[in-house]
Order: sequence, then C-alpha cells, then structure tokens
Amino acid sequence: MEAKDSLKGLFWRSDFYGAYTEGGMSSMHNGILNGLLKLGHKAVFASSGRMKLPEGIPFYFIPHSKLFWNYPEILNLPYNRKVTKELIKIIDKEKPDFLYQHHADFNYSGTLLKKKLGMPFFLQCESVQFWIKEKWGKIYFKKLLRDIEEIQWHQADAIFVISEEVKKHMIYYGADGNKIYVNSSSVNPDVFHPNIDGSEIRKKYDLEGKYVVGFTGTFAPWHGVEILAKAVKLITEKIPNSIVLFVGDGMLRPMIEDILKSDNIEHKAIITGMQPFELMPKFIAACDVVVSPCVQTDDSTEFFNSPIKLFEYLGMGKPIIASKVGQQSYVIDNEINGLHCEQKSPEDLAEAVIKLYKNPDLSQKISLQARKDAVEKYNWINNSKRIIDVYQKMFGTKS
Amino acid sequence: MDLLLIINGRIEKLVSVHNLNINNLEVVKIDEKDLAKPKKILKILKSKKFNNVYFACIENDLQRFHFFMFLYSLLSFRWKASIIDELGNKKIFSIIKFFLLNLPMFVIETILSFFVIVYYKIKIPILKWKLKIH
Repeated sequence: MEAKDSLKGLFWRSDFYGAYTEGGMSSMHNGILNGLLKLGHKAVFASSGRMKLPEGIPFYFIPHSKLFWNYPEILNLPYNRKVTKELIKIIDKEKPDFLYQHHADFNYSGTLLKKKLGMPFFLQCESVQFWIKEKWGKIYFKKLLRDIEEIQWHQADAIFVISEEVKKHMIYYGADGNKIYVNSSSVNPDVFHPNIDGSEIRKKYDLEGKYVVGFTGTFAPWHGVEILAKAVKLITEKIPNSIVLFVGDGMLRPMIEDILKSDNIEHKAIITGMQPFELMPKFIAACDVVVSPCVQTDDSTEFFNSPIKLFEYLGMGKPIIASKVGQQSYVIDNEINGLHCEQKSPEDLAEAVIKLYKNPDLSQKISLQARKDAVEKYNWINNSKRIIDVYQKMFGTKS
Repeated sequence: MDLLLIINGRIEKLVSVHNLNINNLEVVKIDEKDLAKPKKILKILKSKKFNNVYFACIENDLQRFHFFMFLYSLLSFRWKASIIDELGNKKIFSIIKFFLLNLPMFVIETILSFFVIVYYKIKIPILKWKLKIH
C-alpha cells in the first residue's frame, strides 16, 4: 500500500564487494528496503555489484572499470566520474526524493550529485574508513582518503551510523554530531522467528539429541570466533553430548582449525563454511544456545560494530550469550534478554553456556524477552521509519 | 594431482560446474588479500607438482587481480593454470597472451594510476577549499 506522502529513495552502494550477494551489508540493505515498502514508500537500488533485493525494487548495476582492476585504491577514484553520470540518468528516469549512499573508500559521488542536482543526500557510515584502513589493513594515500571522507561528512544532509560508538568516533574526527543519527543493525522478525524448524539442519549435521552451541558469521577479527574455538574444550568437557556449530567462514578459519586440532576436539565442533542467507534462520533454529563473542580489537577505541547476528538471534528467540562490549553491552540486558560474558575470555564464555545448560528456566525466560525486544525495538522497519522521519523533519513531505 | 585455490565461491558448485575430479584435487582456501602475499601463494603453488592449477571465484567478471594470479602461475612454472568461476567461465593462462596482452595492460594501468593519483591529489584539496571545509 502506498503511503499518503510516499517518498522514493535512491539507494546507492558504492563499495567494491566482488560477486558477494550475501553478508551483513546485504541483510541491512534488504531490511531497510523491506521496511520502506511496508511503510508505503518506494526505493530504487544502484550498486557496483550484484544484489539480491526484495521484489519490486528496480536495480541498476554500475560496474567499476576493469582498467583499474589491480590497484584497489585507484579503482574508486575514476569511478566517481563514471557513476555520477550514470546516477544522473537514473535520477532523471526514476525521480527519487533523496539519495542514500553507503559510504566507501575514495567515493564522493553523493557530494557530486548534491552539488549538481541539489538533491537531499543521506550518507550511511559503518565506521571511520581511514581509521579502519590504518588499524586493520594497509593504508595508501591517507590524506586523500581522509579528505574525501571529510567532504562526504560535510556535504551529507544527514549521516546514519550503526552505533553510538561510531557516532562518537566520527565526531572525534571532525563530523558534525548534530546531523548524525544512530540506526543500529536490526532484524526482520518475520524471517527470523521462533517457529522455524531446525530439524533438517540437525539431521544433516548429525546433531539430533545433542546440546548445540551455535555461532553464525564471518571468521574475521572482531567477531571473536577464536574465543569460542578456545571455549569448545571447556564446554564439551562439562556438558556431555554437546557440540559447537560454527556457521560461516573467513580469514581466521585456519586459526580456528588449528585451535580445535591442538585441543584434540575436532570431533566436538563442526564448521559449515559459508551458507546462503536463506538458510540462516534454520541454522539458528538448530541450536540450543547461540553466542556472539565479539572482541575489541584495538585498546584505544571502543568496540563500535553492530553485529547483525545478535539481532537475528534475538528474532529467533534463542538463549543468547554475548560478550560485554560496545553495543552488545546495552542491547543485551544481563539475565533479561540474554547473558553477558567477559570479552576475550573462553572460560567466562564456557561458564555462561554451562549456566544456561543447567538452568532451562533462565533460558526460557531470556528467550521470550529476546523475541519481544526484536519485534518491538530491533525491527528493520524502525530503521526505515527513522530515515523517513529525518527526511520529513528536514525537507517536509516532498522535495 | 590438481590444485584448486579458492578465493571465494563454493567448492561443491565449482567442482560440479567444471567437472573436476574431487579425488584428484587438493583444495586450498585463501583470502583475496592473500593475493598480495607472493611468498604465501608461491609456496602453495610450489608445494607439489600439480598438473593443473585453478584459481576459483564466484564470478570472473567481478574478481580482481587476474594479472597477479597469472603472474604467480608464471613464477611457479605452473603453465596449465586458469581462473574459473561458479558460472562455468574459464580464463586460461597463456604465456604468449601474458607477455603480449596482460603485461602491457598492467604497465598501462600502472602509468594511468599514477596520473589518476596526481589528478585527485590536486582536485580534492581544491574541492575542499571550494566547499570551505577546514
């Protein structure tokens, strides 16, 4: 149903992500787009890669030039020009009310479009990009990267970030806090719900009759998957017939396999590899308890991520154990909608699992509240509503 | 024995689409970032005397660093190398094509990249100044 003052957003994903169509970013875009449709608004999506989108959303694929295929930093600079031309054509055809750009390294197409067309420009930031590159990767052309980021922050009419911690971080580096809005990760409670049947997965992975401790997500530094790997021995020694299910893959996989091998507990854990998003609810349903052992990777900066898995767990109404870092420390209310454990402590994580195993009443209580919170507080539709509210506050009903 | 070096993509799909013999295959998963680590990649390529080397990904058209994959094949003397994807596409390494096409294109890319950087190093501070960002 179309809303009385229906708006149309042009969503623009400018980062290079190869051929991946799954993952947190994809879930987030789908969640927000579904929310907009439910609220009676419209959307168009343009991207540098392929996307699986909700039905009825027009999609425009604008690939990077293959001439700059081998230098990742260079790739995005000439792309600004190409993409601005393409987006102008799309804007001319689709006539959106605002542009919503997902910020990427060296990309300032949102700024160019705002300058040329004067259209409302919203920016979404997951982090301070030059900080991420400097701390977690390799940084080349730091000043250029930082300048472009500052231009985007300055020109955006509103900036949506995933956590209070990212907001603080951006303000520290010079962004105007008055135009930053927190829009944390969320969940679609119609897709992730407690009635989903996990028996097919239990059968496939021989989990029937076992106490299954689950993790879903990427095996990357801040996810803390190595902490869970170290806890496997402690958990399986104390809980007979228990098993740990790692649903995902990533750069830390060799390390996880090494930990399991050196603890001689390879048979007590299963690594499924990357799985399609559609199967995620079934994998979570197959677990008795789910964990999000995220860790702060840098002592000087607070944990600033917004792990989507945490919200999917809430939606599924599963007993959750989450490390007490960043957003997890306030989204999870200890013994109310989940259990906290200390970050980087396999012992504490194992103890929390054992506590839930021994206390089914507590598990039941926190599961019910988790689901309630997902439906009421952490539903993607709230994110979409926040974007529309900001638009209406700034520009009225239509641009 | 063949080597399947998976940058991204699913092994089951790659094996079935390209009719690979799983019993004659050594599978190594790497991260895309590993392609910037010559020592690591060359060590894998030289670990055994592989008959065929497959660099595998989800979609060739959206996979970067083809030049480096072929360069590693050349440096490890793995002449029967190719880049394959889940869609059934296959880009075969050819030493003639490498020297006559891939290498000159890489040189052009390097030169153009230099000019791109110089251009944006001038343009972006001017844009900042015009927008009065201090």
